[in-house]
Amino acid sequence: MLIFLPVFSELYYIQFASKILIMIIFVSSLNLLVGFTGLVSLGHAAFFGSSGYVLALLSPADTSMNLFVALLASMLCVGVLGAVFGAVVLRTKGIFFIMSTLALGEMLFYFLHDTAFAGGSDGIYIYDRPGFNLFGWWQLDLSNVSHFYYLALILVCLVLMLIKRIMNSPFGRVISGIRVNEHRTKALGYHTYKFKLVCFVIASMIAAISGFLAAVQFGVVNPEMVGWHASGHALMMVILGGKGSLLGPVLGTTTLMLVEEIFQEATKHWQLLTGIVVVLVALFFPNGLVGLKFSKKRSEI
Amino acid sequence: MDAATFFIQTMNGIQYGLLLFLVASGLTLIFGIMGVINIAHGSFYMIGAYLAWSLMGWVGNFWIGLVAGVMVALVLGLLLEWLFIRFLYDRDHLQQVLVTYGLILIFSELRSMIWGDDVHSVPIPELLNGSIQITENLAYPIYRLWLSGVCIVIAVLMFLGIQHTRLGMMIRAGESDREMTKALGINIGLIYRFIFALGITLAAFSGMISAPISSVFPGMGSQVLIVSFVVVVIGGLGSIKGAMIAALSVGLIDTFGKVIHLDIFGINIFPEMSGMSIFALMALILTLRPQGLFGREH
Amino acid sequence: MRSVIEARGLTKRFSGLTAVSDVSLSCEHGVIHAVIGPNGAGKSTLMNLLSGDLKPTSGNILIDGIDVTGSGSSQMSLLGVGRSYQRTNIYPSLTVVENCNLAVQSRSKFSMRFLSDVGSHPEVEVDTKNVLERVRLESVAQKRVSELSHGEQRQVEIALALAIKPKVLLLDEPLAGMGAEESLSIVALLQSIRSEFAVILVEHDMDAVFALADTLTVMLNGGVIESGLPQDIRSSDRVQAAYLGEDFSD
Repeated sequence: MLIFLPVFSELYYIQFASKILIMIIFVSSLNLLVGFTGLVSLGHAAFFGSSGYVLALLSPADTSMNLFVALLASMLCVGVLGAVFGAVVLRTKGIFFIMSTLALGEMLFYFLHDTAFAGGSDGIYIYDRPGFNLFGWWQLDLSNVSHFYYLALILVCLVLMLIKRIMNSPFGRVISGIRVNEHRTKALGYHTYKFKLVCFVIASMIAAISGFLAAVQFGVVNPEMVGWHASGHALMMVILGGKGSLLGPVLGTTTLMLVEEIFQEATKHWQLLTGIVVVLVALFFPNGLVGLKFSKKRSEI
Repeated sequence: MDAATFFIQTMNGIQYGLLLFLVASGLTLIFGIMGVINIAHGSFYMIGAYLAWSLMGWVGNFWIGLVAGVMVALVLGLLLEWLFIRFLYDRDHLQQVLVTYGLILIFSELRSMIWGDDVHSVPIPELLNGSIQITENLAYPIYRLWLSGVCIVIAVLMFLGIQHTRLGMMIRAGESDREMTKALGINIGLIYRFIFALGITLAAFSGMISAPISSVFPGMGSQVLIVSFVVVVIGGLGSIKGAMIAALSVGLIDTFGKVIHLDIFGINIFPEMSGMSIFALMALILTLRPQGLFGREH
Repeated sequence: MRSVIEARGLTKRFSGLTAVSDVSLSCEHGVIHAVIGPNGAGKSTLMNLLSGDLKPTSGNILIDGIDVTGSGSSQMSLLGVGRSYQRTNIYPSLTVVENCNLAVQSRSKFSMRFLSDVGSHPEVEVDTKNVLERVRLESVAQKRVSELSHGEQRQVEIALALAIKPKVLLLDEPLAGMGAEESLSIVALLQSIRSEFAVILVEHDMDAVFALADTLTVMLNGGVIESGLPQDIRSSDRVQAAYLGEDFSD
């Protein structure tokens, strides 16, 4: 059904579905940290937003870039940023980690907001979206809503497969160990800082994919994209869906975005309703939708 | 920069730092004793400022408005603890973050519904209006001095409390231990409710007394929350001394960052990047001492 | 014979309080060296120093004669020091096999590989199977650790220490909270593996200590008051006065 969506659906819904797909990638990358590694980050949007900025700054004014070159460049730059941020924040634990991720994310926000370097508070427009030309007989046009939708759908599938692969790897085994009991994992001889740093960089690079897509879709980047409310929003989706499961982010993102869409139709003060939903979910259904559905047979990874 | 400007900016920086200390200490209090990270802390600062604006406008008197505002904040704190926070003591940080994040959204919308989204200003009370003439061409507002004085008094009271009471010992230990509190033989539920109310009242009170010197605006809560986080991280958890030194440093850096002019390699650092400077300081401290200036190794 | 692990004048102070004061001891391959003493004598702190969980204020730790003072717990583990904790410190939400796999994999070089499948490294499972057979946990291998009995959890604790193929085993009260029967089976287990390691054992169960130990060190208030063969310790007046007499009376 997802595959045929663009065939029968209105333009608005295809765009909305694409937005959900983009968020699924972002929330999945955050889930890799929060759910699989036990690192509660409140600054993950820094990587989402900065990826879009890399694209905007790299894009030439008059021609369109090769999609894969641009995506790769964004991921690499954000990966470097992730390594630098991670190296600092991973020196802390628990509540300190939460606070310092938030603070570093805000540092980036103020940098983009206050300096003229990247358009200040208005951000940057991307006039020519990157594209891809297959030997001259087929052109991927990302300003075409359907083309964009399919690209996002393919990338969601690839990202979910990648995360599944990671969690079934020897590395994933160590990551789980760190989540459950970092002290013992250290005592077993693992240099846990290194593992967490690698995981942090991977998560930031996956977030870069989503930020890249978001920048391409909206054609603009602005400082709000790195702000901490974007991080908090994604965190809500992680827990609504169920942390530490592959499907959780898919369910959580889709549900919250649909619910918010309904709230926005209903009232100007829709954030009030969102807030109530989040409080209730966090208090009474900490295992999220996945936990609800599979509460009997669910086994923690 | 001449000596007069330097003096005034130093005073302003210290005053801002003291205010930050007050907000940050509420945060530390709640985390230190109850083990709850309350990211809605800034919302109470914002609520305090709006309360000051509406109550003082309503009764027409700063002091009655202040007392009434503190009462409202205390009741709000007791109520919220009973409604939400008491369920969070044995939960992980993630749930605490999300519940209190939900509260941020709720308070932000309620503020918009009750008070609107406009920027307001609160007049300085009659009694404290005016300036002290220090030299011939140098004057300093009495209200700012009063504000610093109030913060110092509260800081001293907190310091004494932390040094000399068993609850204070727990804060210094930097970790909550319900068993230990139970061993003190006190009604833990009631104590926690009171501590939470006290913590957020500190934030709300800071918002109230800062209202006359800064405008009252919707985003003030998250701004102060983030800066208090920076203060706590730099100072080290559980250290009142650390929080004080960090708050003063942050206050001074932030204040001077906005008025000095500095270019490095032709790139303007101050004032253009002054918003980043305190975060850069935090990153530096974390690199050198991950546990903060006065925190113990963890 | 040369000692596998040796402590020289280890001292640890916590803001004024001296938890361990000038402790020296050593242990050779195939030897069980028991450390006993009343609660608060500093035994657990000593174990934490030897395993790298804590850094000593002064003094040195040597592995195979090489000074390794200041190494953290992961470094000490890689140097061949395996430990069990007094308060069970394992992975409650993982299965017994998963617990053990983690420990076994720590000796491999592929832990950083995030794109290869765990299935392509079957040697981990093989080693895990061997360890679980040794500690007799095969029957509960697929169970989650949180569902196990206390005694079984203590066995997992030991299994994790064995699974890293250590030279030195630090066992911090392996019998804590165990019933008589479970204790006997753990003692039997330790007897069966004692020849392969240098073992430092902290334990309150005196029957077990005297059944197992080749050498004894007695601690009191952070310091060593006596050290020697079990029979000498048993007859030492100082030990009787400081520790044994008092402990046996209650």
